[in-house]
Amino acid sequence: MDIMDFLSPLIGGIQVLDNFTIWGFILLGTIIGVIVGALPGVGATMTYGMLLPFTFTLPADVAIALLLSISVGNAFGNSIPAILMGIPGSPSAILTVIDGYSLHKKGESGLALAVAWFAAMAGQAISIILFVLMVVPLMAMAYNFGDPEKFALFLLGIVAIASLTGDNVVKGLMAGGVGFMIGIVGLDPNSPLPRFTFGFSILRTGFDIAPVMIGLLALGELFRSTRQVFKWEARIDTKHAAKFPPLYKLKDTIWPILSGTFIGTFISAIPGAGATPAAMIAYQQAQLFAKRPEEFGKGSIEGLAANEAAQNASNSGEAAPALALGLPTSGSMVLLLAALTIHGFIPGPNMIRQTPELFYAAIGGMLAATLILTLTGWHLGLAMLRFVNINRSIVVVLSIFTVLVGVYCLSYRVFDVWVVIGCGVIGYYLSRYGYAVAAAALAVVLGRQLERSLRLGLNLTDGDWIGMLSRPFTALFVCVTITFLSIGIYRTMKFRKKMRDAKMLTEATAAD
Amino acid sequence: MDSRKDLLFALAMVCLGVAVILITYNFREPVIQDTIGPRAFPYGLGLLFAVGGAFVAIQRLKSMHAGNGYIVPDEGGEDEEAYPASGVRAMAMIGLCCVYTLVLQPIGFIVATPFFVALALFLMNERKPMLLITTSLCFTAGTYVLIHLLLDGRLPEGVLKGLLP
Repeated sequence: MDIMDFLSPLIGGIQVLDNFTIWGFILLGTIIGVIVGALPGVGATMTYGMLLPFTFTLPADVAIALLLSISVGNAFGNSIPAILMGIPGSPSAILTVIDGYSLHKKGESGLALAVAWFAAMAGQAISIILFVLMVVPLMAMAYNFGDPEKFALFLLGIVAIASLTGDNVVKGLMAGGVGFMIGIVGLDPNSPLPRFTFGFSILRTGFDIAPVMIGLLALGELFRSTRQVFKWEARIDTKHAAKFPPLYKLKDTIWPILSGTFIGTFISAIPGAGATPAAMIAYQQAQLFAKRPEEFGKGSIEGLAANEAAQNASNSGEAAPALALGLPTSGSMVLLLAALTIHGFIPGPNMIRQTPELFYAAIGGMLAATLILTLTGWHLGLAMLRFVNINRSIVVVLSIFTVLVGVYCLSYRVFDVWVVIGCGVIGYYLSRYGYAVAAAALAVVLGRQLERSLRLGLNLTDGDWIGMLSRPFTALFVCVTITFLSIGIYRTMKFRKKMRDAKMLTEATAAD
Repeated sequence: MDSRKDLLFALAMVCLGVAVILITYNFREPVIQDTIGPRAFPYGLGLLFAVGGAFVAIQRLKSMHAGNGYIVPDEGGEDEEAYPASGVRAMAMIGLCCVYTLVLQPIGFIVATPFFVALALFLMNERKPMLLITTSLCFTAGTYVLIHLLLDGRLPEGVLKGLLP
C-alpha cells in the first residue's frame, strides 16, 4: 500500500461532489438530520427507517451520501435538546446533558452550543481521514476472504451485537435467532427446497429486507413511543439567550476534541459498540488528562468537547466496517446496508472493492455535510429551538404514517405493509423485554449469507470443521467472537449480581 | 418491567423453538446434499429458542416475588420515568395500523388516511377538533401531492377511482 491508496479515496470523494443534485440531497439530509436530532427520541435509525423507501428511486451513490449526511446532522442536532432542555436527543448524548445542561443553567448556553458545534465539526472532519485510513487496509485484508472467512466474520458481527447490546446475553442471542428465522424463510440457499413458506408462493423468495428492517428498527420503536403521551415544551428552559462566545474560550477544547475523535472513530468501529460507549470512553479519557477535571459533571467544556467529538466521529467509525467488510455495527448502518441491498449490492467483504463509487460517495457525503454544518450549523442549531417545541404526538403519528406509506410505495404491495407491521410488533416486544433488536436486524441481513458461507466453506474443506475453522483469518474471527461472547456473559452475570444486591438491600430495609 | 410478562415472553420463545424443530423435521429431503444440509440451521435456531427461553424463564421464576408488584428493573428500552406508560395504547395503535392496512385498497388512500391520522392522534390524547381535522387533512393532501403527483407514485384510489387527478 502506498500513499496514493489513501489519497485516491479522498480525491474520489471530492470528485463525487461535482454536481448540484448530490449537493442538494446532502443539504436536505443534513437539515433533516439536525431536525430529527433535535427531537428527543427520534434518532438516526428511525429517520433512516422512514426515509429508506424514498431513497430507492435515487442512484446508489446519492442514496448513501444522503443517508450519511443525515447521520452527520443528527449527531450534532441531538446535542441541542441535551444542552437546552436536559433531554438527550439520542442515548449517545446522555453525557452532553451532564455538562451541557449544567452550562446552560449557569447562563452559558452560548458557550455550550458553540463547544458542541465546534467539537462536532472538528471531530467529523478529522474522523473522515481516519475512516479512509481504516477502510483501505480493511479492504486489502478482505481481498483474500473466502467463504470460511465470510462465515466467521458475519458470525462475529451478530454475536458481538447480541452480546454487547442489552443486559442479558441469552436474550441477545435469541434476538439474533429471531432475525435468522425471518431471514431463513424462502428457498434454501443451496437447493430449491422451500423452508417455512407454509405453501404461500409469496414467501418462496423470502421477505424483502427493507420492510423487515424498517419494521424491526423504526416502527417497533415508534410503537414503543406511543406508550407515553407528554409534551416536550413543558421541559424547555429558554430564559438564557444563546450568543456565540469569544473564540479564545474554545482553546481548551482542542486536545479533548482530538482524543475524542480518535476514540470515537475506533471504538464505534467495533461491532456492538456504537456511538454511546465511544462517547462515554472519550469523556472518561478526557477527564484523566483534563486541565480542570474537577469541573467534569458540573459544566466542563473539555468533557462536552470530547463527548461531542466522539459522537460525530462515530459516524465515520461505524461506516468503516459496514462498507469495508459488509459488517454493520449499529442500527442505522444495518439500514444503510439494507438500502444498498435493494440497489442490487450484496453486503460483504468485497462490496466496495468491486464498487469503489460507494466508498467515494460515503466520503463525499460526510465531507459535504460537514462543510454545510460548518457554515450553517450555528444558525441551524438556534433555529432548531423552534422545532423542539412541536407537538410530540403529531411527530409520532406522522412518523408511523410515513413508515406505512413509504413501505407501501416500495413495490405498491399491501403485503409489505403487513410485513412492516408484523416486524414492528416483533421489534416492539423484543425491545420492551430486553432482546437486542439490532442483533435481530443484523441477522436478517447477514443470516442467509452466513448459512450459505458456512455450507460452501464446509464443502471447500470436504466437511472438515477443523480445517475450515483453523484458517488464519477464520480462527482470528472465531477467537474474537468467543471473546465478545465471554464479555457478554460476564456483563450479564454482573447485571444479575447488581440486581440481587439491590433486592437484598430492599428486603433488608423493609425488614428494618 | 413486569417479570410475569417477561416470563410469558420467554415461554413463548420455548414454544417457538419447539414449533421450529417440529416443522424442520418435516422438511423434504433435498436433491442436492451438502455437509450439514438445509435442516441444520433451523434445528440450531429451534434449539436456541427452546433452551434460551427455558433458561430465561427459570431465571425469572427464581427471582420472581410479589413485592413491588412483580416489577423488576428494565432489561430493555425504558419508558420516560416522569410519565405514565400504557401498553394498551400501543396495542390500540398497532390495531389501528392493521385496520388502515386492511381498508387501504378497498376504500383508497384519500378516504382512509384522514380517519387513520385523526384516530391515531386521538389515541395519543389529542382532543382538539380543529387540530385533528387540520392535521389529518394536511397529512393526507401533502402526501398525496408528494407521492402521487410529484413523484409519480401510485396510491390506492379505492372508491374514488377515476375521480382523482
